[in-house]
Amino acid sequence: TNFQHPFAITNKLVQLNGHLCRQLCSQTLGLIAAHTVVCREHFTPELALRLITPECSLFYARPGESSSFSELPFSDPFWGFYWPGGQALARHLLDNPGRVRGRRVIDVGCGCGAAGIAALMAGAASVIFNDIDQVALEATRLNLSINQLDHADGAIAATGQRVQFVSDDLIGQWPPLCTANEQPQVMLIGDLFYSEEAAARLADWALKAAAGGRPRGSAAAEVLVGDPVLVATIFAERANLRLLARYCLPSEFMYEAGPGTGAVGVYATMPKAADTNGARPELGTID
Amino acid sequence: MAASKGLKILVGCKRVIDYAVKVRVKPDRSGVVTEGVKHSMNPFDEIAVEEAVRMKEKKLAGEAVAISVGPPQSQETLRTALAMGIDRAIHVEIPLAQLEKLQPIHVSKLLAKVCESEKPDLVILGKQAIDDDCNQTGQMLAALLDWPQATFASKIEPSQTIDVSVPAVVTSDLRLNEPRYATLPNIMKAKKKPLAKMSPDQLGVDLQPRQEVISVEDPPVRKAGAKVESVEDLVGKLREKGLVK
Repeated sequence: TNFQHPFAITNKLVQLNGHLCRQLCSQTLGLIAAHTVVCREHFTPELALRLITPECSLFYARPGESSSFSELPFSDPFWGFYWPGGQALARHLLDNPGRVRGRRVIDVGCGCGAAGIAALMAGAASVIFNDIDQVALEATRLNLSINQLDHADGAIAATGQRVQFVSDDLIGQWPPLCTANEQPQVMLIGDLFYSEEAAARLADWALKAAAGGRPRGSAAAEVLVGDPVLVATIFAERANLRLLARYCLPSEFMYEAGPGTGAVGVYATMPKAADTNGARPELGTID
Repeated sequence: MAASKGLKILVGCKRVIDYAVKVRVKPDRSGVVTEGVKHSMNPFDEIAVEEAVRMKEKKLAGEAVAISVGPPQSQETLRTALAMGIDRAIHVEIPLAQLEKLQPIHVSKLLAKVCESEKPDLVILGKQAIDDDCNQTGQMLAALLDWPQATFASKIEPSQTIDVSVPAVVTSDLRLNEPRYATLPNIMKAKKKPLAKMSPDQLGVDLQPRQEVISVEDPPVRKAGAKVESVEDLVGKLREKGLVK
Protein backbone atom coordinates (compact mmCIF):
# COMPACT_ATOMS: atom_id res chain seq x y z
CA THR A 1 0.00 0.00 0.00
CA ASN A 2 0.97 3.63 -0.14
CA PHE A 3 0.74 4.00 3.60
CA GLN A 4 3.91 5.42 5.09
CA HIS A 5 4.71 4.25 8.58
CA PRO A 6 4.77 7.34 10.84
CA PHE A 7 8.28 6.61 12.06
CA ALA A 8 9.58 6.64 8.51
CA ILE A 9 8.59 10.28 8.08
CA THR A 10 11.45 12.65 8.71
CA ASN A 11 11.60 16.36 9.25
CA LYS A 12 11.16 18.32 6.06
CA LEU A 13 10.93 21.96 5.34
CA VAL A 14 8.06 22.73 3.04
CA GLN A 15 7.55 26.13 1.45
CA LEU A 16 3.96 27.21 1.11
CA ASN A 17 3.06 30.54 -0.45
CA GLY A 18 6.03 32.23 1.16
CA HIS A 19 5.39 30.67 4.56
CA LEU A 20 7.84 28.19 5.92
CA CYS A 21 5.92 25.26 7.28
CA ARG A 22 7.86 22.64 9.14
CA GLN A 23 6.43 19.19 9.09
CA LEU A 24 6.27 17.95 12.65
CA CYS A 25 8.61 15.21 13.62
CA SER A 26 7.74 11.55 13.82
CA GLN A 27 7.07 11.82 17.55
CA THR A 28 3.74 13.60 17.07
CA LEU A 29 2.65 11.19 14.36
CA GLY A 30 3.59 8.29 16.61
CA LEU A 31 1.52 9.76 19.45
CA ILE A 32 -1.47 10.27 17.18
CA ALA A 33 -1.19 6.68 15.93
CA ALA A 34 -0.85 5.37 19.50
CA HIS A 35 -4.01 7.11 20.74
CA THR A 36 -6.33 6.55 17.78
CA VAL A 37 -7.68 3.68 15.73
CA VAL A 38 -8.51 3.60 12.04
CA CYS A 39 -12.28 3.97 11.91
CA ARG A 40 -14.94 3.78 9.20
CA GLU A 41 -17.93 3.69 11.57
CA HIS A 42 -19.36 7.06 10.73
CA PHE A 43 -21.48 8.77 8.11
CA THR A 44 -18.83 8.47 5.38
CA PRO A 45 -17.44 4.91 5.51
CA GLU A 46 -15.65 5.63 2.23
CA LEU A 47 -13.11 7.49 4.37
CA ALA A 48 -10.82 5.73 6.81
CA LEU A 49 -9.98 8.13 9.63
CA ARG A 50 -7.74 7.91 12.67
CA LEU A 51 -10.13 8.74 15.53
CA ILE A 52 -10.26 8.48 19.32
CA THR A 53 -12.99 5.87 19.77
CA PRO A 54 -14.31 4.01 22.84
CA GLU A 55 -11.60 1.41 22.09
CA CYS A 56 -8.96 4.01 22.99
CA SER A 57 -7.98 4.74 26.60
CA LEU A 58 -7.94 8.48 25.86
CA PHE A 59 -11.72 8.33 25.22
CA TYR A 60 -12.25 7.83 28.96
CA ALA A 61 -9.88 10.57 30.19
CA ARG A 62 -11.45 12.00 33.32
CA PRO A 63 -12.48 15.64 33.53
CA GLY A 64 -11.46 17.60 36.58
CA GLU A 65 -8.56 19.69 37.65
CA SER A 66 -6.03 20.66 35.00
CA SER A 67 -3.38 18.65 36.84
CA SER A 68 -5.09 15.43 35.77
CA PHE A 69 -5.05 16.72 32.22
CA SER A 70 -1.30 17.15 32.24
CA GLU A 71 -1.12 13.41 31.63
CA LEU A 72 -2.95 13.92 28.33
CA PRO A 73 -0.47 13.86 25.47
CA PHE A 74 -2.47 16.48 23.55
CA SER A 75 -4.24 19.64 24.51
CA ASP A 76 -7.68 19.99 22.88
CA PRO A 77 -7.67 16.98 20.53
CA PHE A 78 -10.67 18.17 18.49
CA TRP A 79 -9.04 16.41 15.52
CA GLY A 80 -9.56 13.08 17.28
CA PHE A 81 -13.29 13.18 16.67
CA TYR A 82 -15.44 13.33 13.55
CA TRP A 83 -17.92 16.03 14.43
CA PRO A 84 -21.42 15.95 12.91
CA GLY A 85 -21.11 19.07 10.72
CA GLY A 86 -17.96 17.70 9.13
CA GLN A 87 -19.66 14.36 8.55
CA ALA A 88 -22.57 16.05 6.78
CA LEU A 89 -20.22 18.17 4.65
CA ALA A 90 -18.13 15.19 3.62
CA ARG A 91 -21.24 13.14 2.84
CA HIS A 92 -22.59 15.98 0.72
CA LEU A 93 -19.37 16.33 -1.27
CA LEU A 94 -19.09 12.59 -1.89
CA ASP A 95 -22.71 12.51 -3.08
CA ASN A 96 -22.47 15.76 -5.07
CA PRO A 97 -18.91 15.79 -6.42
CA GLY A 98 -19.84 18.45 -8.98
CA ARG A 99 -19.74 21.04 -6.22
CA VAL A 100 -15.96 20.80 -5.98
CA ARG A 101 -14.73 18.92 -9.02
CA GLY A 102 -11.87 20.84 -10.63
CA ARG A 103 -12.15 23.67 -8.11
CA ARG A 104 -9.83 25.10 -5.47
CA VAL A 105 -11.05 24.29 -1.96
CA ILE A 106 -10.17 25.37 1.57
CA ASP A 107 -11.16 23.29 4.63
CA VAL A 108 -11.37 25.75 7.54
CA GLY A 109 -10.82 24.32 11.02
CA CYS A 110 -10.15 21.03 9.24
CA GLY A 111 -9.54 18.93 12.38
CA CYS A 112 -9.04 15.37 11.13
CA GLY A 113 -9.24 16.70 7.54
CA ALA A 114 -12.29 14.66 6.54
CA ALA A 115 -14.12 17.38 4.60
CA GLY A 116 -11.03 18.29 2.58
CA ILE A 117 -10.25 14.63 1.96
CA ALA A 118 -13.81 14.12 0.72
CA ALA A 119 -13.27 17.10 -1.60
CA LEU A 120 -10.14 15.44 -2.99
CA MET A 121 -12.05 12.20 -3.50
CA ALA A 122 -14.74 14.21 -5.31
CA GLY A 123 -12.10 15.60 -7.67
CA ALA A 124 -11.17 19.01 -6.28
CA ALA A 125 -8.19 20.58 -8.07
CA SER A 126 -6.58 21.61 -4.79
CA VAL A 127 -7.30 21.66 -1.07
CA ILE A 128 -5.87 23.95 1.61
CA PHE A 129 -6.15 22.23 4.99
CA ASN A 130 -6.37 24.99 7.60
CA ASP A 131 -6.32 24.48 11.37
CA ILE A 132 -4.67 26.57 14.10
CA ASP A 133 -3.67 23.32 15.81
CA GLN A 134 -0.49 21.90 14.25
CA VAL A 135 -1.39 18.46 15.58
CA ALA A 136 -4.62 18.56 13.56
CA LEU A 137 -2.55 19.15 10.43
CA GLU A 138 -0.41 16.14 11.33
CA ALA A 139 -3.54 14.04 11.88
CA THR A 140 -4.77 15.25 8.48
CA ARG A 141 -1.50 14.16 6.84
CA LEU A 142 -1.92 10.76 8.46
CA ASN A 143 -5.51 10.51 7.25
CA LEU A 144 -4.47 11.42 3.71
CA SER A 145 -1.99 8.55 3.83
CA ILE A 146 -4.45 5.95 5.05
CA ASN A 147 -6.81 6.91 2.22
CA GLN A 148 -4.11 6.37 -0.42
CA LEU A 149 -3.69 10.11 -0.91
CA ASP A 150 0.01 10.32 -0.07
CA HIS A 151 1.51 13.59 -1.07
CA ALA A 152 4.93 15.02 -1.72
CA ASP A 153 6.00 18.57 -2.47
CA GLY A 154 2.48 19.88 -2.14
CA ALA A 155 0.77 17.43 -4.44
CA ILE A 156 -1.02 14.09 -4.20
CA ALA A 157 1.43 11.68 -5.79
CA ALA A 158 -1.20 9.55 -7.51
CA THR A 159 -3.38 12.32 -9.02
CA GLY A 160 -1.43 15.58 -9.06
CA GLN A 161 -4.10 17.36 -6.97
CA ARG A 162 -2.42 20.08 -4.89
CA VAL A 163 -2.53 20.17 -1.10
CA GLN A 164 -1.36 22.77 1.39
CA PHE A 165 -1.31 22.85 5.19
CA VAL A 166 -1.78 26.22 6.87
CA SER A 167 -1.91 26.81 10.63
CA ASP A 168 -2.61 30.54 10.64
CA ASP A 169 -5.98 31.83 11.86
CA LEU A 170 -7.43 32.88 8.53
CA ILE A 171 -10.91 33.81 9.72
CA GLY A 172 -11.70 37.37 8.70
CA GLN A 173 -9.23 37.65 5.85
CA TRP A 174 -10.25 37.44 2.24
CA PRO A 175 -8.56 36.18 0.20
CA PRO A 176 -6.85 33.98 2.79
CA LEU A 177 -3.11 34.27 2.31
CA CYS A 178 -3.08 33.37 -1.35
CA THR A 179 -1.97 34.90 -4.55
CA ALA A 180 -4.88 35.92 -6.76
CA ASN A 181 -5.02 32.81 -8.94
CA GLU A 182 -4.72 30.50 -5.96
CA GLN A 183 -7.78 32.00 -4.26
CA PRO A 184 -10.11 29.28 -3.00
CA GLN A 185 -13.37 28.87 -4.87
CA VAL A 186 -15.09 26.77 -2.21
CA MET A 187 -14.82 27.22 1.55
CA LEU A 188 -15.75 24.29 3.80
CA ILE A 189 -16.66 25.22 7.39
CA GLY A 190 -17.64 22.30 9.62
CA ASP A 191 -18.75 22.57 13.27
CA LEU A 192 -17.45 26.07 13.83
CA PHE A 193 -20.76 27.91 14.41
CA TYR A 194 -20.90 26.88 18.06
CA SER A 195 -21.29 30.21 19.84
CA GLU A 196 -22.48 33.76 19.25
CA GLU A 197 -18.91 35.01 19.16
CA ALA A 198 -17.59 32.35 16.80
CA ALA A 199 -20.61 32.62 14.54
CA ALA A 200 -20.33 36.40 14.30
CA ARG A 201 -16.72 36.19 13.06
CA LEU A 202 -17.52 33.42 10.64
CA ALA A 203 -20.70 35.00 9.34
CA ASP A 204 -18.94 38.23 8.49
CA TRP A 205 -16.11 36.33 6.84
CA ALA A 206 -18.49 34.15 4.88
CA LEU A 207 -20.29 37.23 3.58
CA LYS A 208 -16.96 38.78 2.60
CA ALA A 209 -15.89 35.63 0.78
CA ALA A 210 -19.22 35.31 -0.97
CA ALA A 211 -18.97 38.91 -2.17
CA GLY A 212 -15.46 38.44 -3.50
CA GLY A 213 -13.89 40.87 -1.07
CA ARG A 214 -11.58 42.55 -3.53
CA PRO A 215 -12.09 45.69 -5.51
CA ARG A 216 -10.94 44.26 -8.82
CA GLY A 217 -13.80 41.82 -9.35
CA SER A 218 -12.12 38.71 -8.14
CA ALA A 219 -14.27 35.65 -8.07
CA ALA A 220 -16.59 35.11 -5.19
CA ALA A 221 -16.27 31.89 -3.28
CA GLU A 222 -19.01 29.50 -2.36
CA VAL A 223 -19.16 28.89 1.37
CA LEU A 224 -20.45 25.52 2.53
CA VAL A 225 -21.26 25.20 6.23
CA GLY A 226 -21.94 21.93 8.04
CA ASP A 227 -23.53 22.08 11.50
CA PRO A 228 -26.34 20.50 13.50
CA VAL A 229 -29.60 22.13 12.43
CA LEU A 230 -30.39 23.45 15.90
CA VAL A 231 -27.05 25.24 16.00
CA ALA A 232 -26.96 26.62 12.47
CA THR A 233 -30.51 27.93 12.44
CA ILE A 234 -29.53 30.58 14.99
CA PHE A 235 -26.90 32.01 12.68
CA ALA A 236 -28.27 31.16 9.27
CA GLU A 237 -29.79 34.53 8.63
CA ARG A 238 -26.79 36.58 9.65
CA ALA A 239 -24.48 34.65 7.35
CA ASN A 240 -27.03 34.56 4.55
CA LEU A 241 -27.05 30.76 4.68
CA ARG A 242 -29.58 28.62 2.91
CA LEU A 243 -30.13 24.94 3.58
CA LEU A 244 -28.78 22.71 0.79
CA ALA A 245 -29.26 19.34 2.37
CA ARG A 246 -30.40 17.85 5.63
CA TYR A 247 -29.11 14.60 7.05
CA CYS A 248 -30.21 12.44 9.95
CA LEU A 249 -27.26 11.13 11.91
CA PRO A 250 -27.64 8.45 14.58
CA SER A 251 -26.91 9.87 18.02
CA GLU A 252 -23.74 7.83 18.48
CA PHE A 253 -22.26 9.48 15.36
CA MET A 254 -22.98 12.78 17.11
CA TYR A 255 -21.28 11.74 20.36
CA GLU A 256 -24.62 12.02 22.17
CA ALA A 257 -25.88 9.70 24.86
CA GLY A 258 -29.22 7.98 24.45
CA PRO A 259 -31.02 6.68 21.37
CA GLY A 260 -32.41 8.68 18.47
CA THR A 261 -31.04 10.77 15.67
CA GLY A 262 -30.00 14.34 15.17
CA ALA A 263 -30.56 16.62 12.20
CA VAL A 264 -27.43 18.03 10.60
CA GLY A 265 -27.51 20.50 7.75
CA VAL A 266 -25.25 21.56 4.94
CA TYR A 267 -25.77 25.24 4.18
CA ALA A 268 -24.48 27.46 1.44
CA THR A 269 -23.92 31.18 1.27
CA MET A 270 -24.76 32.34 -2.16
CA PRO A 271 -22.84 35.31 -3.62
CA LYS A 272 -24.93 38.45 -4.10
CA ALA A 273 -24.96 38.07 -7.89
CA ALA A 274 -26.50 34.62 -7.62
CA ASP A 275 -29.29 33.46 -9.86
CA THR A 276 -32.36 33.15 -7.61
CA ASN A 277 -33.17 29.72 -9.07
CA GLY A 278 -30.25 28.54 -6.98
CA ALA A 279 -28.12 27.58 -9.98
CA ARG A 280 -24.43 27.67 -9.36
CA PRO A 281 -23.04 31.07 -10.32
CA GLU A 282 -20.45 31.35 -13.08
CA LEU A 283 -16.94 31.44 -11.79
CA GLY A 284 -15.60 34.92 -12.31
CA THR A 285 -12.24 35.66 -13.82
CA ILE A 286 -9.46 37.27 -11.89
CA ASP A 287 -7.60 40.24 -13.39
CA MET B 1 -33.97 30.93 19.08
CA ALA B 2 -36.77 28.45 19.58
CA ALA B 3 -37.59 28.10 23.26
CA SER B 4 -36.97 24.68 24.74
CA LYS B 5 -40.01 22.85 25.93
CA GLY B 6 -39.99 21.44 29.45
CA LEU B 7 -38.68 22.70 32.72
CA LYS B 8 -35.72 25.02 33.05
CA ILE B 9 -33.36 23.66 35.69
CA LEU B 10 -30.62 25.48 37.59
CA VAL B 11 -28.04 23.21 39.23
CA GLY B 12 -25.60 24.35 41.88
CA CYS B 13 -22.04 22.98 41.87
CA LYS B 14 -19.39 23.58 44.49
CA ARG B 15 -15.67 23.00 44.10
CA VAL B 16 -14.46 21.15 47.20
CA ILE B 17 -11.40 19.21 48.30
CA ASP B 18 -11.67 15.77 46.71
CA TYR B 19 -13.34 13.17 48.96
CA ALA B 20 -10.29 10.88 48.82
CA VAL B 21 -7.79 13.48 50.04
CA LYS B 22 -6.49 13.27 53.61
CA VAL B 23 -7.29 16.75 54.86
CA ARG B 24 -4.62 18.53 56.92
CA VAL B 25 -5.11 21.41 59.35
CA LYS B 26 -2.88 24.41 58.67
CA PRO B 27 -0.06 24.93 61.21
CA ASP B 28 -1.62 28.25 62.31
CA ARG B 29 -4.96 26.45 62.84
CA SER B 30 -6.83 29.05 60.82
CA GLY B 31 -8.19 26.46 58.43
CA VAL B 32 -7.24 23.45 56.34
CA VAL B 33 -4.55 23.17 53.66
CA THR B 34 -6.01 23.77 50.19
CA GLU B 35 -2.94 24.83 48.16
CA GLY B 36 -1.84 22.13 45.75
CA VAL B 37 -4.54 19.78 47.01
CA LYS B 38 -6.76 17.92 44.58
CA HIS B 39 -10.22 19.44 44.25
CA SER B 40 -13.31 18.19 42.46
CA MET B 41 -17.05 18.73 42.26
CA ASN B 42 -18.92 18.07 45.50
CA PRO B 43 -20.24 14.50 45.12
CA PHE B 44 -23.81 15.50 46.02
CA ASP B 45 -23.64 18.17 43.32
CA GLU B 46 -22.53 15.56 40.77
CA ILE B 47 -25.72 13.73 41.64
CA ALA B 48 -27.69 16.96 41.15
CA VAL B 49 -26.05 17.52 37.74
CA GLU B 50 -26.74 13.92 36.73
CA GLU B 51 -30.40 14.29 37.70
CA ALA B 52 -30.76 17.43 35.62
CA VAL B 53 -29.14 15.77 32.60
CA ARG B 54 -31.40 12.70 32.96
CA MET B 55 -34.46 14.97 33.09
CA LYS B 56 -33.27 16.56 29.84
CA GLU B 57 -32.79 13.13 28.25
CA LYS B 58 -36.33 12.18 29.34
CA LYS B 59 -37.56 15.47 27.83
CA LEU B 60 -38.88 16.58 31.23
CA ALA B 61 -36.44 19.46 31.14
CA GLY B 62 -35.65 21.68 28.18
CA GLU B 63 -32.64 23.54 29.45
CA ALA B 64 -30.18 22.81 32.26
CA VAL B 65 -27.89 25.56 33.54
CA ALA B 66 -25.07 25.00 36.04
CA ILE B 67 -23.93 27.65 38.49
CA SER B 68 -20.94 27.77 40.79
CA VAL B 69 -19.99 30.36 43.40
CA GLY B 70 -16.25 30.27 43.98
CA PRO B 71 -12.70 31.06 42.91
CA PRO B 72 -11.44 31.14 39.30
CA GLN B 73 -10.85 27.37 39.43
CA SER B 74 -14.59 26.83 39.83
CA GLN B 75 -14.68 27.17 36.05
CA GLU B 76 -13.17 23.70 35.81
CA THR B 77 -15.96 22.37 38.00
CA LEU B 78 -18.44 24.00 35.63
CA ARG B 79 -16.70 22.48 32.58
CA THR B 80 -17.19 19.09 34.22
CA ALA B 81 -20.90 19.82 34.53
CA LEU B 82 -21.00 20.92 30.88
CA ALA B 83 -19.21 17.73 29.88
CA MET B 84 -21.88 15.68 31.67
CA GLY B 85 -24.54 17.32 29.52
CA ILE B 86 -25.45 20.68 31.05
CA ASP B 87 -26.19 23.30 28.38
CA ARG B 88 -24.48 26.38 29.75
CA ALA B 89 -22.83 27.61 32.90
CA ILE B 90 -22.64 30.66 35.14
CA HIS B 91 -19.65 31.39 37.35
CA VAL B 92 -20.04 33.85 40.22
CA GLU B 93 -16.43 34.61 40.96
CA ILE B 94 -15.47 35.27 44.57
CA PRO B 95 -12.22 37.16 45.23
CA LEU B 96 -9.69 35.07 47.17
CA ALA B 97 -9.77 37.41 50.16
CA GLN B 98 -13.47 36.72 50.70
CA LEU B 99 -13.42 33.05 49.81
CA GLU B 100 -12.59 31.60 53.21
CA LYS B 101 -15.33 33.56 54.90
CA LEU B 102 -18.03 32.64 52.40
CA GLN B 103 -21.03 31.04 54.08
CA PRO B 104 -24.28 29.43 52.88
CA ILE B 105 -26.12 32.65 53.72
CA HIS B 106 -24.06 34.48 51.08
CA VAL B 107 -24.28 31.69 48.52
CA SER B 108 -28.04 31.40 48.89
CA LYS B 109 -28.44 35.16 48.43
CA LEU B 110 -26.30 35.06 45.29
CA LEU B 111 -28.28 32.12 43.94
CA ALA B 112 -31.54 33.90 44.74
CA LYS B 113 -30.41 36.92 42.72
CA VAL B 114 -29.51 34.72 39.78
CA CYS B 115 -32.90 32.99 40.05
CA GLU B 116 -34.55 36.39 39.65
CA SER B 117 -33.02 36.82 36.21
CA GLU B 118 -32.77 33.20 35.05
CA LYS B 119 -36.27 32.26 36.31
CA PRO B 120 -35.71 28.50 36.59
CA ASP B 121 -38.61 26.16 37.30
CA LEU B 122 -36.49 23.89 39.44
CA VAL B 123 -33.27 24.44 41.38
CA ILE B 124 -31.40 21.28 42.28
CA LEU B 125 -28.56 21.50 44.79
CA GLY B 126 -26.51 18.88 46.55
CA LYS B 127 -27.92 18.35 50.06
CA GLN B 128 -24.63 19.47 51.62
CA ALA B 129 -21.00 20.09 50.73
CA ILE B 130 -18.47 17.59 51.97
CA ASP B 131 -16.09 20.30 53.15
CA ASP B 132 -18.33 22.15 55.58
CA ASP B 133 -21.29 19.72 55.84
CA CYS B 134 -23.51 22.78 56.37
CA ASN B 135 -26.66 21.41 54.73
CA GLN B 136 -28.14 24.93 54.62
CA THR B 137 -27.92 26.47 51.18
CA GLY B 138 -30.91 24.72 49.64
CA GLN B 139 -33.15 25.47 52.59
CA MET B 140 -32.04 29.09 52.80
CA LEU B 141 -32.52 29.58 49.08
CA ALA B 142 -36.06 28.25 49.21
CA ALA B 143 -36.85 30.60 52.10
CA LEU B 144 -35.37 33.63 50.30
CA LEU B 145 -37.36 32.85 47.16
CA ASP B 146 -40.42 31.77 49.12
CA TRP B 147 -40.47 28.56 47.09
CA PRO B 148 -41.38 25.08 48.32
CA GLN B 149 -38.46 22.81 49.12
CA ALA B 150 -37.95 19.07 48.93
CA THR B 151 -34.71 18.18 50.66
CA PHE B 152 -32.76 14.88 50.72
CA ALA B 153 -34.60 13.77 47.59
CA SER B 154 -34.03 10.16 46.60
CA LYS B 155 -36.30 10.34 43.57
CA ILE B 156 -37.64 13.08 41.32
CA GLU B 157 -40.46 12.39 38.92
CA PRO B 158 -43.59 14.14 37.67
CA SER B 159 -46.73 12.81 39.31
CA GLN B 160 -50.46 13.15 39.05
CA THR B 161 -50.78 14.48 42.56
CA ILE B 162 -48.51 17.46 42.75
CA ASP B 163 -46.52 17.06 45.90
CA VAL B 164 -44.21 19.95 45.21
CA SER B 165 -45.27 22.51 42.68
CA VAL B 166 -42.72 24.31 40.59
CA PRO B 167 -40.89 26.57 40.95
CA ALA B 168 -39.19 24.67 43.75
CA VAL B 169 -35.84 23.88 45.33
CA VAL B 170 -34.74 20.27 45.60
CA THR B 171 -31.64 19.00 47.32
CA SER B 172 -30.18 15.68 46.23
CA ASP B 173 -29.36 12.74 48.43
CA LEU B 174 -26.95 9.91 47.77
CA ARG B 175 -29.49 7.40 46.47
CA LEU B 176 -30.95 9.72 43.83
CA ASN B 177 -28.72 8.42 41.03
CA GLU B 178 -25.21 7.36 40.05
CA PRO B 179 -23.50 10.12 38.08
CA ARG B 180 -21.97 9.38 34.70
CA TYR B 181 -18.31 9.88 33.82
CA ALA B 182 -17.85 12.36 30.99
CA THR B 183 -16.07 10.96 27.95
CA LEU B 184 -13.41 12.92 26.06
CA PRO B 185 -15.69 13.97 23.15
CA ASN B 186 -18.08 15.46 25.71
CA ILE B 187 -15.21 17.20 27.49
CA MET B 188 -14.18 18.67 24.11
CA LYS B 189 -17.76 19.76 23.36
CA ALA B 190 -18.00 21.34 26.80
CA LYS B 191 -15.09 23.65 25.99
CA LYS B 192 -17.29 25.35 23.39
CA LYS B 193 -20.39 25.70 25.57
CA PRO B 194 -21.14 29.15 26.99
CA LEU B 195 -19.75 30.01 30.43
CA ALA B 196 -20.78 33.43 31.74
CA LYS B 197 -18.97 35.21 34.54
CA MET B 198 -20.49 37.49 37.17
CA SER B 199 -19.38 39.15 40.38
CA PRO B 200 -21.19 39.46 43.72
CA ASP B 201 -21.14 43.25 43.19
CA GLN B 202 -23.03 42.89 39.94
CA LEU B 203 -25.62 40.84 41.82
CA GLY B 204 -25.75 43.37 44.63
CA VAL B 205 -24.98 40.88 47.38
CA ASP B 206 -22.88 41.82 50.36
CA LEU B 207 -20.36 39.18 51.43
CA GLN B 208 -19.82 40.49 54.95
CA PRO B 209 -19.05 37.45 57.10
CA ARG B 210 -21.53 36.64 59.86
CA GLN B 211 -19.22 34.23 61.63
CA GLU B 212 -15.62 34.25 62.67
CA VAL B 213 -13.57 31.08 62.70
CA ILE B 214 -11.63 31.04 65.99
CA SER B 215 -9.59 27.93 65.30
CA VAL B 216 -9.59 24.71 63.34
CA GLU B 217 -8.36 21.55 65.02
CA ASP B 218 -7.89 17.92 64.22
CA PRO B 219 -10.45 15.70 65.88
CA PRO B 220 -9.00 14.40 69.18
CA VAL B 221 -7.01 11.19 68.90
CA ARG B 222 -9.10 8.33 70.20
CA LYS B 223 -7.64 6.87 73.34
CA ALA B 224 -7.31 3.11 73.43
CA GLY B 225 -9.91 1.25 75.49
CA ALA B 226 -9.33 -1.75 77.74
CA LYS B 227 -10.69 -5.23 77.15
CA VAL B 228 -11.94 -7.34 80.02
CA GLU B 229 -12.38 -11.13 80.19
CA SER B 230 -15.53 -11.43 82.28
CA VAL B 231 -18.50 -9.60 83.69
CA GLU B 232 -16.89 -9.61 87.15
CA ASP B 233 -13.80 -7.91 85.73
CA LEU B 234 -16.03 -5.34 84.05
CA VAL B 235 -17.85 -4.54 87.30
CA GLY B 236 -14.51 -4.39 89.12
CA LYS B 237 -13.10 -1.88 86.61
CA LEU B 238 -16.25 0.24 86.76
CA ARG B 239 -15.98 0.32 90.60
CA GLU B 240 -12.30 1.33 90.33
CA LYS B 241 -13.26 4.31 88.23
CA GLY B 242 -15.99 5.23 90.68
CA LEU B 243 -18.64 4.76 88.06
CA VAL B 244 -20.65 2.23 90.07
CA LYS B 245 -20.94 1.68 93.80
